[in-house]
Amino acid sequence: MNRTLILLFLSAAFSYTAHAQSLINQVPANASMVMEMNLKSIKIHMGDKVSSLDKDMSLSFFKYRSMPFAKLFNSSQSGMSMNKKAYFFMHEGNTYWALPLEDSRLFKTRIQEVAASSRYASNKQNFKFKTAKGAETLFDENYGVVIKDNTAILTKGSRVNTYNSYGGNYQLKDALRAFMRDQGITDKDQEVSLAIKEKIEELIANHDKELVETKKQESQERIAELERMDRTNLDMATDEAIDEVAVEAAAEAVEEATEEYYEEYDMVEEAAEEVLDMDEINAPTYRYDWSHPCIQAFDAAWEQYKLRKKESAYDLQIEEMTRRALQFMNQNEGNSILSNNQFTSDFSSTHDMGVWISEIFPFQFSDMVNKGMNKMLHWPEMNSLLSGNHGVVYMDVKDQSIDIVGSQSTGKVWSKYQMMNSRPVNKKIIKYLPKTTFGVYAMNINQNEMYDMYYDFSKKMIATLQPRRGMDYSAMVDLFDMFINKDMLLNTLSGDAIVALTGTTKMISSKRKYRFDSSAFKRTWQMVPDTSVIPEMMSVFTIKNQANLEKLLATLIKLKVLKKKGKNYFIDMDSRYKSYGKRKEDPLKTMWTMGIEKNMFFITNSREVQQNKGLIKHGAKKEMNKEICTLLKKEGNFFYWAHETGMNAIPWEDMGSKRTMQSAMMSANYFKSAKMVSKQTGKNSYAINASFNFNEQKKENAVLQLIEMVQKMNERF
Amino acid sequence: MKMILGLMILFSLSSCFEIIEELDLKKDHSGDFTYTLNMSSSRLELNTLLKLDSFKGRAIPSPKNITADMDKAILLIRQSAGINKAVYTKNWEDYIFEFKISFDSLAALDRALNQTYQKLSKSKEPLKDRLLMTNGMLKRTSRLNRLSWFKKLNSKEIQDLSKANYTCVYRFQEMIKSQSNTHTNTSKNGMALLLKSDIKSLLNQQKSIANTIKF
Repeated sequence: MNRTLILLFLSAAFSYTAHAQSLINQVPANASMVMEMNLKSIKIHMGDKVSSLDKDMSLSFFKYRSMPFAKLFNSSQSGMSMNKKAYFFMHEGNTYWALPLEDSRLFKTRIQEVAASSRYASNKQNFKFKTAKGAETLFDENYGVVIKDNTAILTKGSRVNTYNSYGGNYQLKDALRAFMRDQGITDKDQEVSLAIKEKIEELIANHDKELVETKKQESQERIAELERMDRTNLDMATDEAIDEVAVEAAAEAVEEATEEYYEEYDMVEEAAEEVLDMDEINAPTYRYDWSHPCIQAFDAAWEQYKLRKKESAYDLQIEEMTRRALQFMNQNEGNSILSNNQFTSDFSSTHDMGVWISEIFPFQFSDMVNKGMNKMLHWPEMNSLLSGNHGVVYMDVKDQSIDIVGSQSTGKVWSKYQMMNSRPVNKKIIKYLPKTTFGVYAMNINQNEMYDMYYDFSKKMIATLQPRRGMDYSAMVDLFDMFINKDMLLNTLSGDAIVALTGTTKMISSKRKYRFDSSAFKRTWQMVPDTSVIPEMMSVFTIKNQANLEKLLATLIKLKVLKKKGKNYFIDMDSRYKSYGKRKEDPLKTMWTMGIEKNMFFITNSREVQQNKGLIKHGAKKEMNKEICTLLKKEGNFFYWAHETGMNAIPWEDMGSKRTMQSAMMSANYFKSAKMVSKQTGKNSYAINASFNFNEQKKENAVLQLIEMVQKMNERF
Repeated sequence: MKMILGLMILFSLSSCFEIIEELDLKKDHSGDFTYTLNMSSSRLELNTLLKLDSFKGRAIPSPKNITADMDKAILLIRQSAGINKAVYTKNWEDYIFEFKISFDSLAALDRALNQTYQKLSKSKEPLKDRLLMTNGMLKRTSRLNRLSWFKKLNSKEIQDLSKANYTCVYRFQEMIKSQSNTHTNTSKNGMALLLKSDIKSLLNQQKSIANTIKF
């Protein structure tokens, strides 16, 4: 349990409906992801404990500047309303927060304090809100807050970089040097004449004009490209794309200007070295090195130009971000996410926290990922399998548990593969689990469907490689498919398996022990057994075709990967090492035992099983954890962790760390168990159900227990 | 004495190890000094650790780098005046490393160890752990917690060293009249001393290996 987990749970607020003036209207219809947080639930469930939250748990407002949740969630301190819902959403690759306000004046004051709170604050700016189209805005570079009435939208745009060690503006300086020669300026002249100043301005102005033209042309080309893109999945608004491109173009212009500066610097250095070498042969012409006042005047003017460009890029971006925020704030329900049929049919607003992921979610990154080397990833093709997939996840805090429920609807392509079997795992498995079992992961998959999915996916991936002579490289996958022994691959095991933590086991290795005789303390030594206690693990797979499996094991024996001893199999691969001329077994490798038992293949590190020469039938169903029994009986794909049992079973005192033991015991006092069940509920739908259960004896709810647990675990013992 | 700095990093990551410091001193004050690091009881952990680049935020040195450091240390010791022989054995299977130095006088040993420590740890501070013969008395001074590596450990890491032990054995060719360390035992023949302590107690200064031995 770490802070991130706490933040996630904290972010989950609880059920309360307040549709009047709901901020959901401010989430655009084509948002690719929406998270709804019920702030009232935080208030109800956390009460005064909010103020005890660690100051590192905070919401970021500006670069490296954030407001701690302890303050933000306190209306009287932050001005944020804790009676409504807040929204986090993604739109065209950018993220936004829509926060409800109770006292916008107070909120503004707090935002100003946050903005000015660190050394990262841009010092040239006085952090005061500006008025723009009926809203109040405060921006610091690419971060901003837009406030209108009782709503705040936090926005973040792309960063305009001014540093790049590549590129240069040497052509401009060459032109300046040529002009200086025409003017008869010598290397020793110290004056920067008016003519030179005017020339510098002219050179930079011309460069800027040219740059703007080029960028404009590139922007138009990109817009045309965007328009050609398939709108059914991406559904991008053209005018917004144009604005974004314009902002990006301005930012690129600044970057280019910076690049040119650095390249120029390098070139001049190199040129200076070359000229220096030539000095030995010929008398030099005026070379006007970097320290010449005219060149320095150019550098100063160039620096100013860069700053102006950066500021203008941010101005454009701020204008665009403000426009967007206002567009979200002013839009009616018809333009909001509530007009998105997929959202309204998927999403329920009755939970503490809900997350909706739209089918366009993976595609919004296509443009970003497809740049440069990443183009090789062929993101759209890779994601085509996910086309049409969308889903929701909800989180609710109950008295002593945190529950997570989710469902996913799959698109036409993904629905072809029915990879998850809903039937429970082999019912015989439970007989071989001891009563001390504290963790189980079970899976029941359809191997044929999974193979088909990987086959199709690989074909799509390989088909995107650049062909030579018109070759279709995906045929390589067909070739693989033809030669592979599918009976061995898909029919040896049936697809259901478990991995269980069944208690603890002993691992015996050896150590050197030094002894000193009592008469003269003369030293001798001997190797003695060294026993350590480790968690015991058992994996069991149901066999579909035992003959296939035996054939495979026999082959591995021939290859000296395995060895058979009685009924059991052991690792034989490089499991010995030499010590003082004697060959010893490596306990890490020799501890694993494999075998076949009643149509099941098992792998375990249990000493008991190793010595018993076969899996032990425990028949401990009645004494075992009830939840594990029920899950094994009913479910095919699940995970269960009995935390308290596990923490008590692991011999912490033998593991050398008192601190770890204390932390483990401390956590077991609060956190009791975790359960997650997933299943395929229909041809094109999946569901997930999870719960994190806390101490029922404590009167505090699950979130409060979680916070207290983490705080106590962080305390020094 | 504390020359194998690379191995020290492994110590911090494995809580179970043993250090044995042995001195065999002849009547003319020449003798042998043996320093043994026995990490065989952490062998399984170290097998895994050495496959990693870093653990708990600390870089894990490779056996190659550790060996290079040990080679360097032993070379530096050998080059020091008054050192007759300096060798080491390494056992990477059981993680046991033993350094043996034959010296003309304790002053030569002290000089060799101090110079090597300062060069390898790039520290200007002299070694506080010393073995010196003054006025017919053997003085063992020790400030284990002042060593540059041990200084880096925080209190939580020191707490985890409860299974790490330090043993000092001093053998002489003459009878011991007295010794000042109350945690030290004298052999039946009266010519050897033995002290066993866990490293946590030494670092917390609850115990010390410092001693003044009179003959």
